[in-house]
Amino acid sequence: MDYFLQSVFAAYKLLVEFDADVWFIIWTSLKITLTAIVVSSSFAIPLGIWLALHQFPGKRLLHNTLNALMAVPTVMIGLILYGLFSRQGALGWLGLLYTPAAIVAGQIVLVLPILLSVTLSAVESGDGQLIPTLKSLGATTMQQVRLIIQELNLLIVAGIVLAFSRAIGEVGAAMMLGGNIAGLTRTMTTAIALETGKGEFERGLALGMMLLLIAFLLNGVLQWLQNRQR
Amino acid sequence: MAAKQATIIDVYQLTQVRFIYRHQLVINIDRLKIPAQACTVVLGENGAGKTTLLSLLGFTLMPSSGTIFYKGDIARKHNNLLLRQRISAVHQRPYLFRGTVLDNVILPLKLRGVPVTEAREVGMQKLQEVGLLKLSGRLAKTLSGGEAQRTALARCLVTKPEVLLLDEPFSHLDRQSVDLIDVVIRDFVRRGGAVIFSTHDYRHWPDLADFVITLENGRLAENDSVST
Repeated sequence: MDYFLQSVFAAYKLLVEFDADVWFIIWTSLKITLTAIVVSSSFAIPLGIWLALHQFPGKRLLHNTLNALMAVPTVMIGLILYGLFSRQGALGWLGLLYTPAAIVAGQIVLVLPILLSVTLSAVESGDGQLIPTLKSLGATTMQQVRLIIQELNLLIVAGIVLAFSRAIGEVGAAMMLGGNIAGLTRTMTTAIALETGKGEFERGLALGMMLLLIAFLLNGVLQWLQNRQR
Repeated sequence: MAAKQATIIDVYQLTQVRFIYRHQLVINIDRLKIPAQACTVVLGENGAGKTTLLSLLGFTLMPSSGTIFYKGDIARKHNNLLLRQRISAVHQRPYLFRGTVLDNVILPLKLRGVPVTEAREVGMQKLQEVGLLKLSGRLAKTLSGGEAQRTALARCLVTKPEVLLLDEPFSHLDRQSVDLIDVVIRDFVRRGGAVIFSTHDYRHWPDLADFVITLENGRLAENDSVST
């Protein structure tokens, strides 16, 4: 127990004394995940709403496929993208492997089904009168998408928070696609795995504490928004 | 009635219209004409297809087969939006957006690019007509059922539609709201518009309706002229 408490204290010191390495890793993680979330949200949310607005054959199958894709292990995503990005792979010419861009790509693939599914479900399970009302008010498809985002913003934000938490906390794809290169592709999760393996438990704990703090902060903001709108 | 019929042109003509939902034939109408400048009531029990018919007439649903003519134009996917913008609908349980009552009423005008000051002026005028001027700044989500219905009605009227579609407008309303909707319908028809409203409540239609359509299991049971 003493060892654990001492490690917590040492980890706390690393954070408050702004240890350059630790904070660079935190910054790298946030930069990569925020990029992945912004890119994926900007097309997954409008696409999810568009899919909810239209009826087409195979929609049920799409729902089921998205649900299944949400459960794909991140290491599988890493493996497939590794095959594509490696030198002999179909996208090897892009030279993405072991760069932050490769981790961003992995996280986009990881969160796309989550964002699509959450958006689609939010629109379809919401007030059944919303879409007929928008149509009968003479809104264009773009106006409908904008108003749906406005009306369902809390559910959509909850989906983004869920996607962010999943992306920032994943380790498999980040390790395989980024290579855990110090100062370039070392993220919080890959660093935790490495530092703990090396016996630098307090450094791993400092990063773990930051991951927890980010998760609590995001949920806190979400709850604050929910209470404000009530 | 004879003089009225002589000047009436049809606002809708439906031919061989079928609507299938989840493998079920919900609407099956061979021929139907709905006149302009008149109040047409769609009667039917719950599940008869009244709401679906109104959705087809409002072009928020497209028929699985058959043709709907609106003032001589065939409704197709490419002109669907333009047709929807000429019609207004109040649903049985109207959806009100976040924001104030006035925000809701002027929303269709904002969607059509009308400047906000002009839209607010028209919105306030319509709120006065439905007796809700005092509630213009109130949050729409806090309104009672009757107030919400009247707000939705004002929202419908701001765009000066050619047709007003009302789905069960008298259900769950207090006397004051019923009387007000009654006045609005008569006034709308007098100004040359067509009103089509659905109801399963037979008490409300006799003195309002110029024409009655009765639906039974999605089929036309009767297409008759009544009253006046």
